[in-house]
Amino acid sequence: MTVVETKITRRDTLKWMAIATPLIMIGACYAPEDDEIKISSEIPEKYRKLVKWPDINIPDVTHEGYGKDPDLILPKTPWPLLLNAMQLNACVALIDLLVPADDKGPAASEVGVQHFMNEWVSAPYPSQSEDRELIIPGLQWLDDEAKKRGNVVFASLPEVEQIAILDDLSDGFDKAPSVAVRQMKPMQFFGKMRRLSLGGYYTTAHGMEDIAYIGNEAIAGDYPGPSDEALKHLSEHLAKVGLKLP
Amino acid sequence: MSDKFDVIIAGSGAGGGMAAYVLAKAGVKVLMLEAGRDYKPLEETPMFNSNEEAPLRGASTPDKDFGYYDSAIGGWSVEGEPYTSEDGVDFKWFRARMLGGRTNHWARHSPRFGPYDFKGKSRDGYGVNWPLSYDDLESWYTKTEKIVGVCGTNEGLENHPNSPTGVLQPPPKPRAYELMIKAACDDLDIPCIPAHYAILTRDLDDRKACFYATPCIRGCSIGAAFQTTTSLIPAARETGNLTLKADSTVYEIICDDGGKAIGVRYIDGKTGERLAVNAPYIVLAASACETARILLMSKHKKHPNGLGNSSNHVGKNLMDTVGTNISGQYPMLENRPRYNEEGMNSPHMYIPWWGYEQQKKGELDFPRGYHIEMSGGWVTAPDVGLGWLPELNGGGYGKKIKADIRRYFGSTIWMGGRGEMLPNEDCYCALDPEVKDKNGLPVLKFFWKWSKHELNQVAHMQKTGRAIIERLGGKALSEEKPPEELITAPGSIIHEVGTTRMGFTPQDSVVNKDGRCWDANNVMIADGGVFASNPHKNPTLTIMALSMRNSQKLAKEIKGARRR
Repeated sequence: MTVVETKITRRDTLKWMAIATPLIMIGACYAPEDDEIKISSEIPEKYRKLVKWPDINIPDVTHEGYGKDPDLILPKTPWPLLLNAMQLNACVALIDLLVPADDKGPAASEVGVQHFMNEWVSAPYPSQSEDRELIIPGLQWLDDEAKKRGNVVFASLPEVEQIAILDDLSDGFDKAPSVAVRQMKPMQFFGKMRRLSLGGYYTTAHGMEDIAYIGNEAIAGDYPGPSDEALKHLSEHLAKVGLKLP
Repeated sequence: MSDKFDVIIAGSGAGGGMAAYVLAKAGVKVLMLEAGRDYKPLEETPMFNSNEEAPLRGASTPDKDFGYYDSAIGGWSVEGEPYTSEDGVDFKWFRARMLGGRTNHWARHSPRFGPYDFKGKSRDGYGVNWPLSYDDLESWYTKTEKIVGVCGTNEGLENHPNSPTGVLQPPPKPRAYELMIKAACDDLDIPCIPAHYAILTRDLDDRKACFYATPCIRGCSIGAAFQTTTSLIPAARETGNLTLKADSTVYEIICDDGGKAIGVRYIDGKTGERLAVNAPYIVLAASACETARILLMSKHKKHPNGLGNSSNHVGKNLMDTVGTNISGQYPMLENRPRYNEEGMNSPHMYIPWWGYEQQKKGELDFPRGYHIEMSGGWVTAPDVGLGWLPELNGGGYGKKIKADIRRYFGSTIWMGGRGEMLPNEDCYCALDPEVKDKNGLPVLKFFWKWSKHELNQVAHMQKTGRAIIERLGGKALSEEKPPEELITAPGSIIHEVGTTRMGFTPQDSVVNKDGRCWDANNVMIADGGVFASNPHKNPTLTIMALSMRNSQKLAKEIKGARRR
């Protein structure tokens, strides 16, 4: 099992945030000199209004990875976790909007996806380091944007306003009015968080149950193959494209 | 070492493992030196471990290139043992520093080569013929299959030899998506048949039949998925004739004044000490490139270019398998009834090469064949990479994307084209004149250039894959691009062979048909280096069949000498 050093529940972080909320600042808007985002006619007003991507220090990760020959039976994650309470707080709020509870399963934070995120962004490998460069400022950006819109951090924003932010990001990422919009850091952050939250969620036992995955159980005797129901389904669909079940 | 050995074997993978098994069973005293550590699959295999238990949910990292649970210790990089490539070349060299080598990790696809595969030059004028024919190897394939345990069927297809009745174990039933692909293939006149895999579906000796759970790449503690560490090596040890020394990197063959090989030098990986051991016979099975490196490093006044290299062919003729990937998403696989689709965690069906007639007629612009493997569906448990699936449906967030995951998970199928590469003079490895490893030994440098044969073949693989996807109403998940951009990196299919090829004369090859170095008859090569060509059919079964044949000859020679 993953070693998680910081265990903060959603309730803990909300409690903590009640104390922290006086620290309010209004984020600046994207300034024309921002060289990461070219302000142009390609970017509609709605996205230009988003708060500036924060220029914050991303901690150096100097810790070793698990090495070439780790214990495969009893895995351990050797690197320290980087996210602080404030970042975890924003993370929890975001992943629960991305992957909320529904009739098939709980919300992301209830199965610990925030701890997976923390482990991921703290890892010393190239791909995770790249994600760290996006996610750590991204969590700050969420709070900045929330403060601009509602004078509180993202987690404390009323849900309707949280959703308004997410809609802007989702529109910018998924509906991609232009490549320039999709490439904006907040949109990239949104896309990355969605992929990782889902990956983190559906690799848990709850997630696998939700997805109705069947496997990883020893079968005595021959492999039974597809069920009659699965074969019938396939056969019907093959017929629709003029093919026969072999 | 005070014991007397008849044979020293460098390497414990497919070739070395088989050599040790045959020689030890024949009563020959064997010392096996393995560069990696000792490895115990019974105790170390993470059977049933979930992704959730692993760091990063088991995602691949530079420490574990194929994911956390991959059994291989090493991978594309090995600490302190770099390799280099010519500018602009991105050769990938997968090494496993452990007892059993890459057999702990391999895919276990085990087709026999066919009669055409040994005589390619006679058929189309390219490359070279093997000094062996299929008939020479047929009985060795059968013996190998019996020991290894291979499941599959006899389909009687052209250049895809049958095994004798009763040798193959029954294959597992096809999965739903494999039947789907087969339905399209039937319509397109492309064969799609059960693949041969070195995975037991029936008990064999003390190895158990597959229980259809947990990925084979992790290794197999019940011995169902073949690896030398649960089969050949324990059996060889039982004879009392095998002495095994792990953490021992062979780097040089010692020759006497006359240039005759008399032993090897090796480095104790734990102490860094340089040691030497003598024996009348030496078997190199360190992997094609590592064996070439050892020969090139074995310089002697009688062997100024390295032992066995009077032909200058050591390191040359390097081939990998041609690879390209085509994934598709299939609406007919969405929201389908769940069942256990894991199976033996490898393809139960594949597409063998079918274009011999067309090639004979000159209708194709590439001379050699390929096959297509497939995977996907629900073969493996959800992994951390599945989060892109809602992007198939406009993205978004919230309950909508959870529904998307349920809908799309299991609806994507990967197809991998795997083709025969022809040897060419631009593809080889040599000692790097500058870079040294942690032991101060020169590392290998790789040189590479695909020819039009491979690129045209990739274009055809892509066309075939797209035709199948289209016929099924699916959607290709990659764009059409020139084959140069779709061919996998050289070395990355991990089928590197040819660096010490066998041939008819000492001028055109490194070893004879018995795997013996032309320049040093008491040195036998038992890995993929001896391949004269690299048919698209995965090499390991043939490495083992050749090693068995040639080790048997070696055993006879050694016992004959004892009697004299």
